[in-house]
Amino acid sequence: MTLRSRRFVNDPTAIVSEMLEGYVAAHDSVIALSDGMVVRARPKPAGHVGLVVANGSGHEPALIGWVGPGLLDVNVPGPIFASPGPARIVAGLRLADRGAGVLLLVSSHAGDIMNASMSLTKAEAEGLRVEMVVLYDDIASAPPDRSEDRRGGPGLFFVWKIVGALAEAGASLEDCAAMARRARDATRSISAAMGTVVHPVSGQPLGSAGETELSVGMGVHGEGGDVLDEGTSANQIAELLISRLVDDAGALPGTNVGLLVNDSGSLTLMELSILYRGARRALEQRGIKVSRSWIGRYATTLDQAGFGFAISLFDREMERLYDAAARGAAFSQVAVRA
Amino acid sequence: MTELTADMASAMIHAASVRVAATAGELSRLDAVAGDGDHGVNMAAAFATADGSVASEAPTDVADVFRLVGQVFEESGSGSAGALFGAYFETLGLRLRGAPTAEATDVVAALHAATDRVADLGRARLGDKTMLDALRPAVDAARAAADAGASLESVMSAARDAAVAGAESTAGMAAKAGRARYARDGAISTRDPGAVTIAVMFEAWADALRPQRAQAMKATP
Repeated sequence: MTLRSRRFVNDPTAIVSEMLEGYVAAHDSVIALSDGMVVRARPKPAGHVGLVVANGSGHEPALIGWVGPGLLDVNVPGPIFASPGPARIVAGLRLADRGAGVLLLVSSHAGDIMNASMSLTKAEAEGLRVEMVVLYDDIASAPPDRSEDRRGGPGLFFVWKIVGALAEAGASLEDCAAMARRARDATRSISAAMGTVVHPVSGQPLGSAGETELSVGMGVHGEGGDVLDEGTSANQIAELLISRLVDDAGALPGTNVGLLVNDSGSLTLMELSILYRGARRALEQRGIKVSRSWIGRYATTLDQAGFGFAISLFDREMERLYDAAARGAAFSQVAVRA
Repeated sequence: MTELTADMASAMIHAASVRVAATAGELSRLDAVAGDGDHGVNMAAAFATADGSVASEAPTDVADVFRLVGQVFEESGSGSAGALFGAYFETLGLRLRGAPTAEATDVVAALHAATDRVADLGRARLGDKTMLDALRPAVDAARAAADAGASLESVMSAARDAAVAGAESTAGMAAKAGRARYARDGAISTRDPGAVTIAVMFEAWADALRPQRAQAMKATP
């Protein structure tokens, strides 16, 4: 296995802007570009809370594909793996303001938090009403007693979906922020990958993982994790990761969970399905019921050969919001069990 | 006693831009150990934009030079580094407001406030293997020199020596803040790219303020 270092691009410095132009044009009934930011083709009605996420690029469809009815209002994409600066985030907050305040959701990574905090100060000085909630779910990045030090991972898609539905239904800024925290605290993720990927601009591999090294607990930027034996089977990995998630969440038999199997970039649906099967079995053996499932590409790290599992311990209200209709470029569903 | 003028501050930014560009490759290689490997490229680009912005606006107050640089970094969108360098320069600009030039003691007070702002924003402490491990010794050395009545040039030379030593000391530290803390061994054995950038910046600053350089840059006596 060798790292893929050649990509179908034009000017390396224009990768993000050309990606946005192409992606938005392909989905112009749902989203539009406004000053380099992804916004809804038709803004949310006035009097609704706006939802904004700013994040580095390279994680698509996060989160350019998650703007639309029932999901986010504005996504502020930064350079590859780097948060946009505070001025950009403030511009995004302004765009999302429909008169009921704006909720800035931040996936916990050092640069994202710093830039978001700076933008919050500047937005408040402008008179915007903004709340910020920092989201995290990756159990490999810090122990349970320091959960606020954890990174954001693929489990945050449960949060985007649930809060997106609540804001769409007209809930207040305080209620949306409270739900974001509640969904975050109910959610855990962990990831595994083989090797690493090459940064398309610098040409450098991310992190120090060997080309075929199988590691658990990778971050979304190739940060290293624990190394597993190369012969470990999909079922063994699934069992290991699910046992860690269940222990960390303290999920008891009889619990209802949502299960996400996220493709970090270049796994086959064949592998994802085999991993899902292993994860589901591991959960059911523990008496945990999988009531909702997602499988596919949610948060990627370019074309990394890896995946993440996320579980979210749903209560009734979260299930109802999960089931609400949503329409983004990368995720859409009609309302189920309405 | 030489005061820091807007021209001298502009020369400092220009010198930093040249020197960061020359070390961009090394900075990116250090960053690749625990990060994306793009730190040098991003820093060189941001400093070059800042240098261009200062040159075209030609501010007459020293505070405005730093304020402009802060704006460029905040708009550059280089993740943590963009925010931290943006906050650093923004604070320098805020603290030096009110007079067109600044005495050595004013400069030291501003460097101190900017360093505190970085520590606060990055939630980092000394020894966490971050840019603070170069910034804090630099400002401490600058303050000691200024308290002893040293000239602006000598204050900056003292800051440079301490920043370089501080950056060197980050090899051997395990990262406790920023993304590098997730690296398998905390990226121990390599220097922190942020701290090295600070050392490079202070080297450029000390160089730009050397009397013969400063004279060439039309410094006021």
